[in-house]
Amino acid sequence: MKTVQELNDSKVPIVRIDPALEQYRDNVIFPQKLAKANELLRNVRLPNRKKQD
Amino acid sequence: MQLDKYALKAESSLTVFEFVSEGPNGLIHKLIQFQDTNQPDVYNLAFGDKNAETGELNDLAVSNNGDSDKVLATVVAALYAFFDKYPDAFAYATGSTAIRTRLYRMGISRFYDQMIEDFDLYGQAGNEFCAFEVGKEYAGFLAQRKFQ
Repeated sequence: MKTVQELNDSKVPIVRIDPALEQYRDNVIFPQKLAKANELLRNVRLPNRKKQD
Repeated sequence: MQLDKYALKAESSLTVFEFVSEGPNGLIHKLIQFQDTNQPDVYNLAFGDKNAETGELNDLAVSNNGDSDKVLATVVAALYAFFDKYPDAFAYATGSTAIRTRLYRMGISRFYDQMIEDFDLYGQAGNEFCAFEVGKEYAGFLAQRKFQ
C-alpha cells in the first residue's frame, strides 16, 4: 500500500470512478474532433513504438 | 513541480474524464475523452465543455474562467492516469481550429519541462512526427509514455 506521502508526490492523480460517466464510454463525444484527428492521421508515419518490458 | 489541478472523475475504463473548472464565470464542467482513431493504439485526446443542466457538449466554447494553467495541469494529470492504464498507447491532440492548435502548442510548451520527464513528445509536420520543439508550429501533437 502506498503511503500518503507517496500518493501526494505521485504524478498519476487519484481518480474517482463515477458511474454516471459510463454513458460516454462507448459513444464518441466531440465527433468533429475525432474526424479531424482521423483526417490528419490517415497517412502519417508514426514514431517507433516503445513497449513496456 | 506539483501544479495545482482539479479533482478528476472517470468511468471505469479511464478513457472519459470529467472535472469542474471554478472561476469568475462560475462552475464549468469539462470532459476529456481519449478516442480510438484510425491508427492502432493511437487515441485522440478530445476536450470540451459540458452544460451541467442540459448535458449539451461544446468543444468550441471559450470559458475565460481565469484558470487556464489549472485546467491544463488537470488535462496533463488525466494523461498520466490514461497512460497508467494504457502504457503502450500514443495520445494525439490537434485543435478544432488553427488558433486552438496554437493554444495546445502553447500549453504543451508551458508544461514541457514536466511532461518531457515522463513522455516522448512529438510534433506533426505533414505526415511525419518529429521531436517536439518549443516555439515551432505543428499540425498536431503526439505523446507516448517513457519507460525507464
